[in-house]
Amino acid sequence: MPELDCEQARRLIHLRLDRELGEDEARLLEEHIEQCEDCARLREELDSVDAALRAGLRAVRLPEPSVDAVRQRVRRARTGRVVWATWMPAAAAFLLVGLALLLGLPGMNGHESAHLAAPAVVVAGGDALHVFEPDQKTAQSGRIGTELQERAVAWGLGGDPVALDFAGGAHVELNDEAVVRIGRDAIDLFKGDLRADLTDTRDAFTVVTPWGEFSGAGVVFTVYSNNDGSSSRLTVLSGEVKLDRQGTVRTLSAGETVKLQPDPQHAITL
Amino acid sequence: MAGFDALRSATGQDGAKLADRHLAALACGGNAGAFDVLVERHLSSIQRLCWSMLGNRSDAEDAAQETFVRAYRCLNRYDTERTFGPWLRGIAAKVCLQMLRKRGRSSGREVSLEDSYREPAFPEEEEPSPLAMEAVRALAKLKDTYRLPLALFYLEEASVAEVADALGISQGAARVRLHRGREQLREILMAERETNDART
Ligand SMILES: [Zn+2]
Repeated sequence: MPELDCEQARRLIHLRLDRELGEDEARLLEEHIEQCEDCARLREELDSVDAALRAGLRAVRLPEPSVDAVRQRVRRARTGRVVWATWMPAAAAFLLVGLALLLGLPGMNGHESAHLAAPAVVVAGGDALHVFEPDQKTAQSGRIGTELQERAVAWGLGGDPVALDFAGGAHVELNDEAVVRIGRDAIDLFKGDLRADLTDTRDAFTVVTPWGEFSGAGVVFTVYSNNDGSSSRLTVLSGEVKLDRQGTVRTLSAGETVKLQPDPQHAITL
Repeated sequence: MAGFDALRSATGQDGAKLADRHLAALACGGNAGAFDVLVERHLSSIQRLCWSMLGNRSDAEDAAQETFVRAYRCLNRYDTERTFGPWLRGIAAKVCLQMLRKRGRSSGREVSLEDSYREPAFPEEEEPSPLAMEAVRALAKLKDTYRLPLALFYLEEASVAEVADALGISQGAARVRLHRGREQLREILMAERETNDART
């Protein structure tokens, strides 16, 4: 094996502290250090840094943490809807499917892509994702970021934003207020905010909202709506987005923002 | 220990004898006592880890609590073939990173932890060597990029792979950060040693 230069020796000194140094390398390092004062000193210094940091962090004493405080926070989280799937799947499924029927069936006038046939309900919040199958009245749990079933309804449920990845490459983030319906290459936004990152999509992806239809491929845009849905703001962050309102199509490019009132053609009754 | 009691009455088993992964599975299935036992087992090490990343007690306490809430929420994602501790530390690292980012955003600058680290954290009777205390203070001077991997590595005797996993970076990147971080600590500590030597 070739002899080491000092730079290689330095790397091996660190690898030893990482507990990742093999026997052969260790031998090479020893040979180098026997002949090189600089590296011998470097090793000594790094060894003392290593020992000092370990000892220092070990010696840190913090006040006894409160197990009860954690327990209370977890209990509060437990009553949140996200964990219903774990705790009482059947009851939750009934309730949520009921909601889905109420919310979902009125549908979106004149729009085909994301219509509900037999709605499954996706409840997503934090990192968890729960799919409720109305037929089986059971909940399946999964993780966000997996491919979603077609024709599902999702709620953001408070807390962290929810990210949905579509098979076609679209990545959509929803805020905790968002209520959407999911299609293969479209998403219907009933309320709330959304950020669509379509950088990796080849085919056009469409976001249908009460304020118009937004579509594009290879683009990034956001839709922010006010609380009562009386207006909305579309901002294009990159690429060009096609905006369809009342049958009129216009193109918006990166950096542009438009404020939109509800479009009667895209009216959604919730 | 309420957690153990609740678990015992619910399962007829003693929580103390159950491995973390089995407790996690029980908790996932709805056993509240099982999760309590996990909290009792891991809270203080998680809080310490959060402290070393965030540098002050109240944030560390908050981050540790948040870690367990998130762990609870995504228990169904926990693969019981994995060790529970590293999985939990991965969540803690994410919580801390988010808090640091939030802090960075609100102050609009790279956050220095030096001041918060000054809170006395060493009990007088068990005070470590001056160099060890210097090392902890020096750690506070490092950027997050280097401080977090070092804290994970040294506080928990984690492997490079676990550090990488917890921070969501490649092993190569974790190694580079550990090496650079250690070099920076060395520079700080050696410079201090020189000024001390010069003084005496
Ligand atoms: Zn050398």
